[in-house]
Amino acid sequence: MLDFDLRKAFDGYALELSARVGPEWLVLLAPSGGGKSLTLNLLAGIVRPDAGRVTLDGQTLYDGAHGVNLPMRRRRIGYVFQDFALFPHMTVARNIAYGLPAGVSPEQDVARWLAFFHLEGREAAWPRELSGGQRQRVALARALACRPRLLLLDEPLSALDRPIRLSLQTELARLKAELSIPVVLVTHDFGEAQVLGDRVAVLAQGRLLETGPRDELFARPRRHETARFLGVENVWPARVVGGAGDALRVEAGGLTARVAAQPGVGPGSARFLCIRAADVRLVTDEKPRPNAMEATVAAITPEGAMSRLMLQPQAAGAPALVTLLDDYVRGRYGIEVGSPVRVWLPPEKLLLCE
Amino acid sequence: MIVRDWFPVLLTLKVSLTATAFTVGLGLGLAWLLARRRFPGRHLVDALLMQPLVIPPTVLGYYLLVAFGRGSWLGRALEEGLGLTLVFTWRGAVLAAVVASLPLFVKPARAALESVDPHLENAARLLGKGEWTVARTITLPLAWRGLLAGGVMAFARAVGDFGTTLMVAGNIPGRTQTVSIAIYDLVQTGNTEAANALVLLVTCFSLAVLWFVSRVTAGRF
Amino acid sequence: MVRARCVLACVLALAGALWPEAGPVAAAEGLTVAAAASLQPVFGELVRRFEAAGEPRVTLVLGASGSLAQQMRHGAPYDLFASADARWVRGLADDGLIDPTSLHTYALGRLALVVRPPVPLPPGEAPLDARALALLKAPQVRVVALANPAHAPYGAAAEQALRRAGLWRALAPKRVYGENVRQALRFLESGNAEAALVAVSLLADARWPWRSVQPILHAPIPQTLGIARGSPRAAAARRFTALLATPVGQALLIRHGYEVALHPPRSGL
Repeated sequence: MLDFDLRKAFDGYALELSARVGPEWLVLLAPSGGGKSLTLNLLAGIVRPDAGRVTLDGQTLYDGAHGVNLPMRRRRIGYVFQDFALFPHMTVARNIAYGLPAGVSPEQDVARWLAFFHLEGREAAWPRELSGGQRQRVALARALACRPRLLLLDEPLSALDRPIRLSLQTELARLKAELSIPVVLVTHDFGEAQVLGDRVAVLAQGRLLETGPRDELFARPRRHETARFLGVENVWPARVVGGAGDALRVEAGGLTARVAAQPGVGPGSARFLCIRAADVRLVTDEKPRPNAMEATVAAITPEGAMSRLMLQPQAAGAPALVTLLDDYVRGRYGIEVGSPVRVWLPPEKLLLCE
Repeated sequence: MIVRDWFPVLLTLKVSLTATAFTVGLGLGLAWLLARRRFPGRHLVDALLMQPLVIPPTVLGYYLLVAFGRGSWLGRALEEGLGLTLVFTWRGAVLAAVVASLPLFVKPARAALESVDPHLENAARLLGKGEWTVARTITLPLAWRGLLAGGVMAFARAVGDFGTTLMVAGNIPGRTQTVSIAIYDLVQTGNTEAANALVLLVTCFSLAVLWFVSRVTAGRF
Repeated sequence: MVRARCVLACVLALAGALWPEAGPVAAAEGLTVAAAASLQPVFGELVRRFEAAGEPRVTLVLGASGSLAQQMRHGAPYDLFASADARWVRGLADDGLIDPTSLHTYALGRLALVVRPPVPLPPGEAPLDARALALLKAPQVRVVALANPAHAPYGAAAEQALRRAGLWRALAPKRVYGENVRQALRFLESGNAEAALVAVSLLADARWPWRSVQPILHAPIPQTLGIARGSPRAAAARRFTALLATPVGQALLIRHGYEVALHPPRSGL
């Protein structure tokens, strides 16, 4: 169990976060430069926090108030650096065996890890002879060989090409099943977070925006910054103007929509109305629907086999909507810039965020 | 035999090897401090260390003479306390060579130490190794090329020192006359044949050393 | 890494094999004589005779008198200091570094002008007077070498002579200083100077035309020596000094152009 509360001033603003991690994978999601690596460095003891407390399995690693700061070598933390940090002057076998106590015959352990990561036969290879994916696995093996109590992963997949990334994701998922220690993984890629995280924490401006179980966080983010970070394209400031029963009426500029009711939110509350572009529908029939409106196509941006359409609703003052449309469908209905369309925002896809 | 007296050559070897050993030992510590620690006065130490490169050799020799000679408290303390006389002995030549070659070692040594990726050292620490083990197994093995280059430069400088040695150790044939001073002396007395022979000897030796080092340091990593 | 270790081993082995002891002679036995560069012909020969007579080895250190005196002040281990004049030795005696009872002036030095052809010397053998020295103003004399007047007695004498002859300022662009008289002579021998003012004592075997300079043009150059105070080899130093008084020593001094008692100076070629 990792329990931490950290404060550190850096680069113009301050990092302040705390969390508790059991035998699970916590993914720290943040844009580049958001303090992800710094967080790991603070936990590992590479950088000293300004204040706070870190305990691991009951042992205090750092306590600012009492002047406790356990040196790195005693923390028993495994750390996989973003650039892998393999020792270039040692073979794969020696790299993996580096952290093992002297006197213990390392061949068995090394062989076991090599087998687990499908690196048999590479014991005598040098790091520079390995591919990116292989280096990643050696780095993992090295960190795990000394049975750490906590594993820290710094953007484990960002240095790799796409196809390798996918295969390594599978490896890591396999690893997940084997480990029973807390793992903190930092990344800016929410695809990674989706595959590997049990819980996800979103870090922005040095603070934790939101923490929660992965699926929940992705499906229904609580904060609009999280929604933006997750790639939700349509995020508008809005105001709750009325409500009855299990529905609320929300106004965003000239646009009025109906959303599912939320506890603690009533008329007058200021919120953000969010919806993914892929969930914004264009409909061709005249069936009465809530949250339907007329709009004109303002701009079209091709994106592979799809197109991103910017739609301007007829209602005055309404914000522009972004939607994704398959090119085949677009062609079939002859939708161009200036075409009138009918837009529908399904209430269950609308998110009301803080 | 054109070279009648081999003493200057042997003395120079003895002085240069001793001086290089001291320079590397002392210089490595200094390079480490400058590379790894931030302490007040760091830049001043760096500037002081580089002084022997800028000061004329005779001026440097003069400072050493005044500091360690019979007229100074330090010189007297060493002589009376430890029975150690520096000036006008081969030890004085070693002193001159160490002071002159120290900056030529510290600069590349420091650069070599700084070039070692700190991630590697931190990785080693997190894998449970103490500072000395990290230095021994990670930093030094990865920095050895720069350290060797610095060591060779220091050695070459020690071999070639003239003005400073002349001041501190004097030109006492059979005692402190190094090969550089001997060559100067031979030229002065018009014995150009012997002078040329010594010059050729020293040049060949330097070339051999530098060639060897160049081969050894041709990179692998 | 294995290779590096081999290199290290080789270097250490080499060092061990080449480790010479403090010198061919243990410091305790040998006599160290510091002498002005101009005394090299005389003292070189004296050293040979001294050693041939069964005495321990002598280390002869040559340099400019002023430099040698400075070194003694800072602890140079010279047992005997033979300067090219009296000033430096007396100074050291006054400061307690030289035994004052050992001070001994044994000859007077003479200044000479050496030239490279085609620079002409006046015919005859008479020492050069002020007028004769004016030949240095000729355009074919581009460089005149002398020892540094600040710390070499013959250099000081050369300056005095040139000033008396009214040539010092006129020759300013041509003057070049050597660290001592030996170096000044080297400048001429290597073709870098057309004329040089040096000690007569250096010219016994000289290949270049030379003529002594009239003694009244400069202050006397008393060749003085002294024994270091507290030297453990004072007895040996005294025995060495005594050689100068022997007929052999006197003949040596005369041959090298020193004024000993009333013998007249020589000039050559």
